[in-house]
Amino acid sequence: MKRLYFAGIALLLAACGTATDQHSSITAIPPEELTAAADMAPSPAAPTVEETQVLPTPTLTIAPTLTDTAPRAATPTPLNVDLPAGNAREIAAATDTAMRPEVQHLITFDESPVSIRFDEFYNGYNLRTGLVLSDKLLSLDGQTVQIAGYMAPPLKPELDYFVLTRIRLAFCPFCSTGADWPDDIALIYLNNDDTTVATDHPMRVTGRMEIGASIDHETGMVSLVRIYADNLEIIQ
Amino acid sequence: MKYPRILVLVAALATMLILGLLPVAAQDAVPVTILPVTNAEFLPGAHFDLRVEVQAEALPEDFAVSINGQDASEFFGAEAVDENWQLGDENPVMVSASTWRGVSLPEAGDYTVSVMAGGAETNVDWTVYEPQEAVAKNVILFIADGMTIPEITAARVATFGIEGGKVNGEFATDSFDEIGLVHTNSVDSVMMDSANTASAMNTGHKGSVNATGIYADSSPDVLDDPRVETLAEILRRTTDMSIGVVTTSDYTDATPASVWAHGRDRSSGSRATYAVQALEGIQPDVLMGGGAQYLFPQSTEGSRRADDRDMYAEYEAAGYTIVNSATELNDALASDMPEKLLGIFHRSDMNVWLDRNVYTDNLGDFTDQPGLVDMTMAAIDILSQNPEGFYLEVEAASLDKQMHPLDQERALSDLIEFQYAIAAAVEWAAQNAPDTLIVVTADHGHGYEVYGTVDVTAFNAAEDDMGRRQAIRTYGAAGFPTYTDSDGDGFPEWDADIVFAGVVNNHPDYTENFQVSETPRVPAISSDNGYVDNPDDDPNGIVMSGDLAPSDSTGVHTLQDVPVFAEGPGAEFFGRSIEQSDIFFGMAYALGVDPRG
Repeated sequence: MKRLYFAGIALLLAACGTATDQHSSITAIPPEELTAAADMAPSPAAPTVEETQVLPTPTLTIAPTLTDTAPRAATPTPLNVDLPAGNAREIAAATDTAMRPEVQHLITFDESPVSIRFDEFYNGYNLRTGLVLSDKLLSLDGQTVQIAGYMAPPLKPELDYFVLTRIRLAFCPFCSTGADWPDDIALIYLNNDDTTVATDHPMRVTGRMEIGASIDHETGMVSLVRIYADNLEIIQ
Repeated sequence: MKYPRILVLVAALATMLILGLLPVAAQDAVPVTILPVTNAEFLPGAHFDLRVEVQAEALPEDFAVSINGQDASEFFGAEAVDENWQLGDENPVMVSASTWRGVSLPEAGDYTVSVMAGGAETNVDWTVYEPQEAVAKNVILFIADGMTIPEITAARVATFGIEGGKVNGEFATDSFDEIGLVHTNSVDSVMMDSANTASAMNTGHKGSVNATGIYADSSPDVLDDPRVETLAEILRRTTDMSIGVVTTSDYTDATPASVWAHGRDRSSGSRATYAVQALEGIQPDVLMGGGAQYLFPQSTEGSRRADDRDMYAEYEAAGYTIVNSATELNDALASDMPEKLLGIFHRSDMNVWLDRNVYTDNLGDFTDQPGLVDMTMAAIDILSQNPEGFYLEVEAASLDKQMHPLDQERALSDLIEFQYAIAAAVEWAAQNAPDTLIVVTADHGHGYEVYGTVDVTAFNAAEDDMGRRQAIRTYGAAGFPTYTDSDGDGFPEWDADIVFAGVVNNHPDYTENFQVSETPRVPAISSDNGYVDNPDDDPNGIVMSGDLAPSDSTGVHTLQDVPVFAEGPGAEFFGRSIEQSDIFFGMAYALGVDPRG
């Protein structure tokens, strides 16, 4: 797996050109019009990957933490203008497109941040479609959330993210061949100026949650759930 | 005291020679590895790759490879490809290699491969055996992963009970004509895993731990190791027979994948590749087991692929009927019998019999999984449509997967289910195809054994380990376990008053209460000091101090010979003490396989 990943990294790096020091390590996501599901209007037909590729790439930079209190639909994951449409973009686009219409029952939240637990992420596993994302998880796309978990052993020190897990991992699955990440994980992206120290203690993360398959171009790690952290709190 | 100068010089030179500090003629010799290794055995015409590795920046000027004295490229009528790579990170050495792909040895006999490199010669000896006349039309290879004689004995007693000192019934294998012993050691280790052992049975070649369908080389690429052809590949290439693979594990796991796969390790990446190799290689007519996570593109949550291939779609395009539950399997068989079937019944490994039938809360999202008997008979129904015959490998995967976490009841229940699957196949063969060879074996051992019984009431009433140990009875005091089968399903109810004192002889720190666990066991959990006792597992059990490295979370495989049982035409080959790789030859001989076509 590691080897495949690194092959993937090499390809992605080649496709991506120079990495920026912004949040460019998130692979671009479909530049499609956002389908507002908040009004529960019938979903238009999902655009195909081919269609999305002919659209111009919006120059959306990473937004600061959203504190939009109005009930709202799923948002796109931030785009990175430096990433041309490549393999990773198609992957993310395909899943994001396929996923959005499945917000069958949009949930609105009175609180902000919204508390969510890892065991609320999924609602079963369908043998033909994979893990079924819960309505709560889908509804939290773009919302500010608070979640508790453990910091997995870092992949490498200079990364701008770490992996938050439900259970404490004694080792880094990504670092050893043959091991897998558990399902219930989230990538936690730090602010540019933040540094953090690895800890074995449970921690609470507050920040904006983004849902949708994406590949971190620096490591090749595929993620479904990312949080742009405003605050990290060690629970002693 | 003063020595003559010449004596001092001679002594110094002799010392340097002994210490290897002086240049001598052999100094230019470089370490050479020849793959396949010495003692390798073949059928004539079976495809394989010959790889010769030399630890040097480049192949030495005098580098030459010969087969029985003839230049290898001339012998094979094929040219080698030269490559090199770095071996090791901390003290790297360069390796240069010459590889002949897809070659074969044309005739039975003895072969010596000689490699000249740096003034020194390295030899390996191979043997090619004469194919035999076909006596069987079909072969069914049943593998119970990690099954041992002590497990069979315990399961038999628990299932049938004892009356007058005699077991009150018998398993399917108890009436087999031939019983033998199988040596399971590896090329690179005295120990073994499920990959190289199943590979030995399917290719006739012993291999290295974690490797399937290859001889492990030193290159970092896990998919470029020199390959050997599997029985199923030979059958695909030279016959019109059908191929089937049934398992209760993820279908890309070691035992099932050894029917078709070639790779060095068992990582997620390799498993994802094995799912592709099945399709792009022999395309088994029947594939059944778990493993949905290797079929989704990586963008699907719950996928373990690292690429964008939608394997469900690719299997479907290749003509497979796809089913995902016992109900769908039955429906598929009841309508038009499919010619090619992909049955995926779990995300990863299928659940064990005990959880499918008793502790069903443990099934999670996968509540409609077929059992091993139904999968085996479904496979036979589909494969036996072919008048040219079939090769079917059936694996009961979870004896091993439950012996690792020291769960005797889950492991033994799957052994009993395995025996019922064999019984169903034996009955089918007797009625429909007596020219079917049925071989039953294990891939490796586990250190499980019963040494007495436990009085559960006394054990649970005890307040400390000394009291609990008083509840363990041995010899005549052991009496009999009180397992019953009140629901008549052919499986013992494990929650009895008197149970087996059965343990695994190698384990982490853990606690043991000898009683059936309502949830699958996790005997040890990780800590900063390695794996330690899981306080939630058998909390009332006896403390068992670990005898494994702290990094081992569960029991491991053991060295013992495993049994082989055989019945039907060609069975007499197996009734002796054999190497695991001989199982390939026994099956190939029975089918009259001649890889020359």
